Amino acid sequence: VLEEIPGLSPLETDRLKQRLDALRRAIERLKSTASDEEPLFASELEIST
Amino acid sequence: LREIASIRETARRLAAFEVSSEELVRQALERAESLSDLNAFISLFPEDALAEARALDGSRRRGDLLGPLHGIPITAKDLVWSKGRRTTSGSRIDAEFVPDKDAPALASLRGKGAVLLGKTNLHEFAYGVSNVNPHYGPARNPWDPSRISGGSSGGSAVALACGIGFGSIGTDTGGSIRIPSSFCGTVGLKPTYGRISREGVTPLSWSLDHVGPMARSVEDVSVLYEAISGEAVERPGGRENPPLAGLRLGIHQRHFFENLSPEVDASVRAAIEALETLGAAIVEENIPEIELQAACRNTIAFAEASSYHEKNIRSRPGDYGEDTRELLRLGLLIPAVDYLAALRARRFLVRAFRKAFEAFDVLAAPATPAVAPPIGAGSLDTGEELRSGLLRLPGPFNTVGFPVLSLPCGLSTKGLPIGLQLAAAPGAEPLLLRVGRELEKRIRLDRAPAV
Repeated sequence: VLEEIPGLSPLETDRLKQRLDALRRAIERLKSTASDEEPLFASELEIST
Repeated sequence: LREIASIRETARRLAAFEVSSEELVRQALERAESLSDLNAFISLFPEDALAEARALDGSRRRGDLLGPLHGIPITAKDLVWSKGRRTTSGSRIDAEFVPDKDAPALASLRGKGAVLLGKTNLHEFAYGVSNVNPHYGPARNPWDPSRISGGSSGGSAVALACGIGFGSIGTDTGGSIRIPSSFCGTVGLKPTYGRISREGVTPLSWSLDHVGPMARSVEDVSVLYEAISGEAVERPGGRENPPLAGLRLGIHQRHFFENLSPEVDASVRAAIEALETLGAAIVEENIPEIELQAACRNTIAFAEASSYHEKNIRSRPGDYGEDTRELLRLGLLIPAVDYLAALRARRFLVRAFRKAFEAFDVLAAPATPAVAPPIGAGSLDTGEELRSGLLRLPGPFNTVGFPVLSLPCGLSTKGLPIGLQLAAAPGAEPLLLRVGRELEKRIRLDRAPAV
């Protein structure tokens, strides 16, 4: 997916890869814990009012 | 900051013609000019502000008052749109953007007589916690100019700590009102999500962005919150004795009291003891789901920010600062299904927080794990990485949209401010402000920054 972004230097590519990997691991934990308990089609996005 | 008059006291002096708005504005502008090395401002409007002040002095003499802020000088973070005056969002991308209207939050204050002195420095597009801005310079901490002010509303906190303006409008997506308030010894309120309109405020992440008032005291923040929101805030009436009798004060030992600098830990615990003296009863409570909130908030923030910036980050990447560019590129790589999973997880977290907050009225926690680090440092005194460390304590309340008040609770041995945050359930801003006002009578900082 990094090909989506043109003009990245090797250093930038490396840093982005690391951050993306860390984020993906966190998202997988999130999905396994929280998402299945929530309805798929929420009718609104307002969160607290 | 004790010696600088409050908004109410200044309004009284204005009403008694002991001082004019023109004098207040002139003093503030002179002070801003003399402290320009701190980079608190991106733009100052001396001619406009003085002309407005003179006009307001004139209308006062005719008995024609706009409201409780008539003639009071204020500032606004430079992503809050100001009609006919450039609003850069701390960026090169928007360096020449001149809005055709005021944001409603700013319009409410100006409509009640406030005078806009200028627009304050911020982290580029509010996308960071240090306020080290590559285009307009770092907003420096007035307590020690070699240190960061914190961000992203850093310029607003710096101006207030220096006595420039009586209030400011900030924004907070992961802590951007509370982090600089904590580092600069000022007060900030992140209201309930949606309580103050985000219209006319350049977005970072629209479902996490909050607009809120900043000032030198809880009392002044209350005045500004009333003026912006239209919601009345209860004044201390002296009915209860002690004043906070019956208040259930939540303490969340895990997460909020982990990995703190010893001085922050001690100051916050002393503030909690002061709240107990005022009548609060401690309730120990932990929210296990809190460990999910950072992934949830990051995913939402990264995706929404990159959605807003997609065109420019693809076509003009070199016009962004390095840290902002990297985060915006990262956000381009988040699949839609992950963004949606994070939105669903947020609903789960909101439910968990709502349930936990049934056990107490107000949660007390540190606003930041450590005092302001030196400019350029990549980590806090505690060893935590700067960005994740500074977002860890304020961020959960953006994820769930609950209101939070940040106020100073002490100074470190190096003379740097330490901040406390008080959070409550949605809609409980008046309660937070009442508790904060009682607390600040006991623990206000006893000195101002040397500048």
